[in-house]
Amino acid sequence: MRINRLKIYIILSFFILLNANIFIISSQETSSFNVCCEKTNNGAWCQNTLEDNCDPGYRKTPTSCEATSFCKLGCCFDSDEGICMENTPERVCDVNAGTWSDNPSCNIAQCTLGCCILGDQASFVTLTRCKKLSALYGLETNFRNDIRDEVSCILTANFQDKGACIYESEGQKTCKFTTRAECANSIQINNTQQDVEFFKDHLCSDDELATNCGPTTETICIPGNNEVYFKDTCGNPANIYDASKIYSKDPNYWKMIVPKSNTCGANSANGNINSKDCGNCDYFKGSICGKGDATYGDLICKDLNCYSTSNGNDYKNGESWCLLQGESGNGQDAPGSRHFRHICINGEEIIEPCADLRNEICIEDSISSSDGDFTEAACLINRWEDCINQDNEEDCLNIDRRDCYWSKDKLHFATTGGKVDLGGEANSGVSGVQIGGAACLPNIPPGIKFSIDDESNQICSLGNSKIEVTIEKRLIGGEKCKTNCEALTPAWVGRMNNLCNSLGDCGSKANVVGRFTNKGIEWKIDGKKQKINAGILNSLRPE
Amino acid sequence: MNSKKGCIGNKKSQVSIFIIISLIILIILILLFINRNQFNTIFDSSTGIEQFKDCVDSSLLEGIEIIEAQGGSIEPENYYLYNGTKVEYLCYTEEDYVGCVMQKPLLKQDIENELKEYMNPRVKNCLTSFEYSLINEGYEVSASEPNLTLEIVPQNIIITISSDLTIEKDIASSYKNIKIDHTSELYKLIMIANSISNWEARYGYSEPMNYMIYDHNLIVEKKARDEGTRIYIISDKITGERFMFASRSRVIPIGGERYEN
Repeated sequence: MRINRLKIYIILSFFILLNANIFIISSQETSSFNVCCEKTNNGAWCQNTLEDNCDPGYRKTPTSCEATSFCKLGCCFDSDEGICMENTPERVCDVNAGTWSDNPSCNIAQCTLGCCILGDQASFVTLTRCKKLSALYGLETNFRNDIRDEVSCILTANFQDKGACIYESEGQKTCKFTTRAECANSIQINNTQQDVEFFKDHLCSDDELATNCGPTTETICIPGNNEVYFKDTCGNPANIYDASKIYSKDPNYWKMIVPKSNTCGANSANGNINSKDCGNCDYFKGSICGKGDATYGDLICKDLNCYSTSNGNDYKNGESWCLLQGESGNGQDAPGSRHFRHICINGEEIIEPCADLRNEICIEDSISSSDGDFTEAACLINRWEDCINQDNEEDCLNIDRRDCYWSKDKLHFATTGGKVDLGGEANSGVSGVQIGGAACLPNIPPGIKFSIDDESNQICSLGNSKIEVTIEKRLIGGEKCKTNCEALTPAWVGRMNNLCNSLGDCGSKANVVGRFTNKGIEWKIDGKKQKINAGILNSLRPE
Repeated sequence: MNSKKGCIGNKKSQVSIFIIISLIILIILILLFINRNQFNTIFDSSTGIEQFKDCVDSSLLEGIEIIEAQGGSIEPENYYLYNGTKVEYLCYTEEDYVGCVMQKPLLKQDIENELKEYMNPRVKNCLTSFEYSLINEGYEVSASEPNLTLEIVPQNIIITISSDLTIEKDIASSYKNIKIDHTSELYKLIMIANSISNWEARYGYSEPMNYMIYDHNLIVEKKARDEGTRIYIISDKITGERFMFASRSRVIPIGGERYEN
């Protein structure tokens, strides 16, 4: 029996989806930068760019800006406000009358941070800033450079001695609830320092102090604090609001400071949200002092959580989550789709789009605690670039390095992923994606700039495939396919299309608004274009 | 008996005092009626100054709105076009992967200068209109070239206009410094923008939630754009003010040039 071997070359090409809902963006300069412009034509200071972009009215040198005197980056100190700005060119700082230092990270003496105590609050700032803030609030400067971190700074402010500051005003013994330091320094009437007496941990409403400040059933919110407080007749805050402890019911509650942990609802899981009787709010449990219907006064612990959000779920204050447009992952993201991070903060849902063209992807995870799960999400760079260079599953799925998935669709790139012996491939003229093995592909395919043909060709052409199919011709008539026979089937075209979809906005697919095209794919046998219609790509169409 | 007489005597003297006081009030009222023009002058001139202040204040409000929407510039040079608005870059680099270069390190002073420049001709216009309206009402007005100082402070923008302004009709009123306080949270928004710019310069990233946790009246939104620009929108819930600026830092480029197959 004589066997004739026929070699049929099957070429499958994929092109960018022409009808994809891709945002048109301005093209960006891709040539290498060759000069440092003091100012560019579009008004940007100190840019490494092309010579043509330099504003002729300013200096330019054929070096990196770092090597120039005028554009060297450093720290710009604003001696008026006490603020340090990093990565500032000397020229820009000078123009704005700042003080420039050759230290881009601002590790200089003027920028050393310390704890600035401002009454019963604190701010972790520079000494100059502390002086400025103290002057703005009419307080004495109290700067502690021995405190080296923000948390300690805030704690220091919280643990200051607080109490009743007694002084005479208009012939009456009156009181201000404040810190010991503020009591000693700040009580002035007609610019005259008053004789004061400080009673630590006492409230101004304490009968024993015999001041003109008495208890009321009114309440107040205090800036910087989360709780609802009782108010005395002089306007000072008393203890945390507890309806069962108005003066007539519990006079002792109006004498000394009662710690938050010993006040009503201290162990409440929800921070006493909407309680009419207890003002022990907790910001981290989702409540804060705000207007509402209370037994006494008109303040309650307002609810800061978010309900019935965009995805229909409820979220706690501070939680963030991802919202995707349609299917995502395993190369399923539709052209034109992007990822969004949603944040629930102070009772509002804030939407933060991740970078377009899926250059950023949104990831989320939950932390379990006694108060339930807490979800956090972030937009991160989509690390898809080296996926197709990975030739084993372990490297492909290494989430520390890249964002890929291991496709077991029995297709592989000729030079990588799950490579199988192609026999005579090297000299047979086959190329691109081949049958068998597996491929490492971007988990979230990158979007492609619609306006840049080179880029779309560069990416999508990776999905081209030229395969050799061997067919035996029998002597008595008829023929039988021997190798790579599946390349003649529509199923193979479908699998190839999936692979192409994973590379980027390539192949045939419905875009984010559901518009479908099959213009991104071509199937040829022996150079003759094959019809791709019902049965092959129908499964890809949206319902 | 003596005490009774004393009582009667006291009553008589009280009545006399009441009559005298009534007469004095009556005389004052008659004098004010006769000289009502002069009375009106006092009233009108103060109202006029309020009108002038309102004119300056409304121009200031316009300027603030422009500045806040455009990243602190009246006419942005290096900007990103966001929903049709030119939003100035406060920190910018054309290059990929590297940290941005600070463009406006002293933002508060820069905005003060921008606002001052914007306000100068408008204050002059307000003053001229004010002069004309008073002259038309028969006043004699003299005013020197106004000198403007503008300061952005917490919760306020303070404009002080120094001009030797004299308004005269029967009596003369003169003004040396006219101070206008405009309630605004611009100072706070600028300080937040500075902080975000520093984070952008160092890390190419800033977390908006940090600011909202510290200040519950603040909303900070971050909008990532396609070619690496991030638009930040800082809003104050109480005043409704929104400060918007752009940043481009540590950009990882999009596209397929890094496929290395």
